[in-house]
Amino acid sequence: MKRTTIATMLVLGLFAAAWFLLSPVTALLYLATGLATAVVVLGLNIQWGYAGLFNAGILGFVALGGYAAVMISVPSVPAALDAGGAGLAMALAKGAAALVLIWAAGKAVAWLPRSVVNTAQLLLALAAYVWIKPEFLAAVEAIESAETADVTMKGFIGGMGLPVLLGWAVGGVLAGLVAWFVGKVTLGLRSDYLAIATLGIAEIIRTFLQNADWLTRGTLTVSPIDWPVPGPREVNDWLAAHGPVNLEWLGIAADQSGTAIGRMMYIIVAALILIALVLMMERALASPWGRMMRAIRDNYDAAAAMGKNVVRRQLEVFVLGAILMGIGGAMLTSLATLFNPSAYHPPRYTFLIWAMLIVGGSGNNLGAVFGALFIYMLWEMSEPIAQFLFLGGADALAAVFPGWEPPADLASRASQMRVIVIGMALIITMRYAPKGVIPER
Amino acid sequence: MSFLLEARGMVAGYGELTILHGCDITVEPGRISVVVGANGAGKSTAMKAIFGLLPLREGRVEFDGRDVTGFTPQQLVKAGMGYVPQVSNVFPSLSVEENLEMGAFLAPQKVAPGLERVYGIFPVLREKRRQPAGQLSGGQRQMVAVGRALMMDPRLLMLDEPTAGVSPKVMGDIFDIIEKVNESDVGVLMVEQNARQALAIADTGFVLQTGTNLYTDSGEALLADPEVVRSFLGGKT
Amino acid sequence: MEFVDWLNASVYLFNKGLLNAAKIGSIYALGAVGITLVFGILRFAHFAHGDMMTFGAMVALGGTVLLREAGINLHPVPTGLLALPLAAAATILLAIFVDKNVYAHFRARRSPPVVFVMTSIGVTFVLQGVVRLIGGTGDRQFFFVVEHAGQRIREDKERWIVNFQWLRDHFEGFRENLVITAPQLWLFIFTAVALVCLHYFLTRTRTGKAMRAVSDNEDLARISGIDVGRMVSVTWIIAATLCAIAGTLLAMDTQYKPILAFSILLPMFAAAIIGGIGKPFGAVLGGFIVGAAETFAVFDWRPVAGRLFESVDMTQSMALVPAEYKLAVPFVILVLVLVWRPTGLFKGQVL
Repeated sequence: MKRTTIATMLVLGLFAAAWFLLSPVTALLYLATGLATAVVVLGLNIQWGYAGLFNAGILGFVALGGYAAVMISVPSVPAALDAGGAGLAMALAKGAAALVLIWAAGKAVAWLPRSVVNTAQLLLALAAYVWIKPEFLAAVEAIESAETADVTMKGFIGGMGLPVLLGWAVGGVLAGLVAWFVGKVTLGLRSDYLAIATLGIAEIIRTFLQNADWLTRGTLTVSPIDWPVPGPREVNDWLAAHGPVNLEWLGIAADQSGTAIGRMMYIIVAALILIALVLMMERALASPWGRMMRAIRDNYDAAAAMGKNVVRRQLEVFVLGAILMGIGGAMLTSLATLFNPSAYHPPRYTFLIWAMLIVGGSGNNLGAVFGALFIYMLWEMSEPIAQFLFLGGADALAAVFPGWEPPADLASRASQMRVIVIGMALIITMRYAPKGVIPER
Repeated sequence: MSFLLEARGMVAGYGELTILHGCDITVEPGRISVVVGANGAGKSTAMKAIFGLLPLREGRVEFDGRDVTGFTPQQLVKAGMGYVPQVSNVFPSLSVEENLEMGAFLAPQKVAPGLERVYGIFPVLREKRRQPAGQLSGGQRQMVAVGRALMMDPRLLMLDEPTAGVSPKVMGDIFDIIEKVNESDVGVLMVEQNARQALAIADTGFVLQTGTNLYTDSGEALLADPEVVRSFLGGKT
Repeated sequence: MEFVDWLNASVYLFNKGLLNAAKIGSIYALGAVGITLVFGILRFAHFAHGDMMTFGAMVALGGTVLLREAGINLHPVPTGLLALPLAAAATILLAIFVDKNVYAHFRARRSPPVVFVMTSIGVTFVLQGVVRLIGGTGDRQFFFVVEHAGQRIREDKERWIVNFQWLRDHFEGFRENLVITAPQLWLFIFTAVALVCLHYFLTRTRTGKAMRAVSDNEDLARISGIDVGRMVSVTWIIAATLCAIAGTLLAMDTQYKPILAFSILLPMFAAAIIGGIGKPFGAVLGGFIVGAAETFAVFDWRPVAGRLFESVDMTQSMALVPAEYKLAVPFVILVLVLVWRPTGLFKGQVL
């Protein structure tokens, strides 16, 4: 109990610091992002804390979730679909058919040595790839060159124009589907290898999303993306039409009240989803399934010897965790109202998530939520603090040594302090509190 | 009587668990001592405790008239003990000669004479000296393992179940190896599962039960003791 | 199609394909050897390896700037190479410092590999921050204009052109050249020298053999009186030196940037695993395999095919994979190897 009190006070302290030192709307943004990130960390907790799976490819599932939000909620671009949709569907169908055939052929000749079957399958897959590639590229070409009604959307296949909340759910489904394939291939590898393999797969997902301009607009990014509740702009419009709401008693300036109300509504939705997920995960953990997962984590060989289908169970847990990561990724993309595939860097979307779980306490869902909120706020706040210290320090130095000039990119260098802070937090936690702030019960 | 190795009243174990409850092991210079007993009697634990791989909670170990209680394995190797672990007792990717060199890592000047001595005892290793040890047959691998422990010219060779998991033919080879080593006046202390064969070459035998000495006598006498034969050697004399 | 077409095509292929493959392969090889040694001796995947390389390159860059300010140069040796000893020394100090203050604690406790990996991710974070804090966040050119014998020379513009005069005299229509730039040549020389030295060290010296022994069987090595702690230090010294060399040469070949080597961490892991964990020369081969696969997967075969066949459609790229996906190639190979042969080509350890 005492530890959770300390944890709550740490988060509240950082939140208050952001509220009073930066601005209330900034503090609200940090809280909203922290809550959405907590869903991702919860997913990692299921994989690592419950089952001991070392997933270093979190970024890939988060990015897929983000893309799902785009796919579902962004308005469609009919011209692009007319131009290349059919060809694209055909190419994808052929690809899927080829994969199924190759898989079935492998099953049919399972009596051959495995290496022979695998090599033959690999060569067949390569041949199918070379065969279907031109058709696929032609369809992509058609999409990218279609004349669209909205010129800014040229070259983009568009979305479905459905409610974004559906996109959040689809984010989970999409990430879960990919995780199923990834898990099929990589589970059964030992921890370090699983980490390296998942890291690699995440890079492939990222490279694809970043370069498939027709699908994601690549570096052009997709925006705006809806919120499930009225966003700051809608609230501001409403306030303009219906008269202002006075939030100055909260210290919120009049021109920011629309933003603040929008973010508060987002926070409520995110918090409700998070609470629901935590309750579901707690129930799963207490169930026979959850006990078995921990048995497998603590003694893989013994569990396997007892006739448990260990790899099957691990696949379930891997997919479940990835679903949460996808949902969290979609929530984050919504919140940013922007999908920028180039923004998915491993330090930010894989290793920071790990730091959150380890510091918070792996194996404990509350620990995961705490870690997400605490580390995210620490991550955001160490930047302005470092800026303040560095620029102040540079001024002081310049006053003492008149000839000295600070480096031109001092501000951007100072912002790197936050990476160091998080890295040190991770190392110190590993060393002095390896079970995290709120340890597993 | 003077002993090469004299371990008295050893108490040791892992964590909360105490396995040795005051057990004695001795080896006379140039003689073979064998420790036998049922599984879990503490045979290998006694060996590890003597060689400093496990801290002694009580008891005292003397080697060559010197108190060596609490010495690290490195110090014991320098003092003249050679130890052959039960499993993974070679460096599989190193060549035979490199394996042997590692045996004299602490005293580089002993490498050349050590190689000559080991090749003298096991001529087949000279032929295979460039081959990775991992590619050798089971018996030859044990020769490398024993050879590595002999490189520092020890006065006592300690073997932890050298025949565990090998074929009967190789088992015979290994006992030959041990007798061969012993011919060059090296004392041998070994823990064995195959009690009958081991006691046959033993000058002194120790029968352990739950971490204490049950019987101590010459190998011959133990083999002739009907009580020992019934409880530990399985049936008839 | 005549013989001279074949000649033209093969020189083109060598120049544009193999040379590039060898270049990136050398970098991967130098990094992968360090990774595999750390893997073998300390038994964990060292995620901070890439950033150790970047750190080395950063120190070399700083040293180069200082040397230039002092007006010191040894043309035609690039100034960057003169700063290499400094870079190596700094990287060694860094590696030993991190080991003593971070990893040693977990080693004494015999923590599972995952703990080390996680901690090395923390170290990665800190190093990335430190590198940007000291070296700045922007990209930097490594080469400078030097004054030599009264002439102003741009160091990186130096190149050697092999024009195969004999072939030109004997085969009409032969027109290809072979072009090697100075940074490439230095890279090949350094890689060769470093690997020969490493081989000598590991197979001929007492410490090198002891290092392999620790990698093979740590407990037996301890029993034999090998000081495992010292071998760990030696491992870091070698890995850090190779990091400094590879990072500096990579930066010289392209340019210095803060994500210089983090972005090639995965290909280096792939190389180490393909070669078999704990097998330094497997890692070297793995490095070249990954380098070649990556280069040829995105290699546009048009100019080669066009020199050989008349009927080639020159409007469509003949690359197997679009160039944007170059980075994905090592990952695909890695996943395939992990799934099909986790011990690598040379039967390394499985952790």
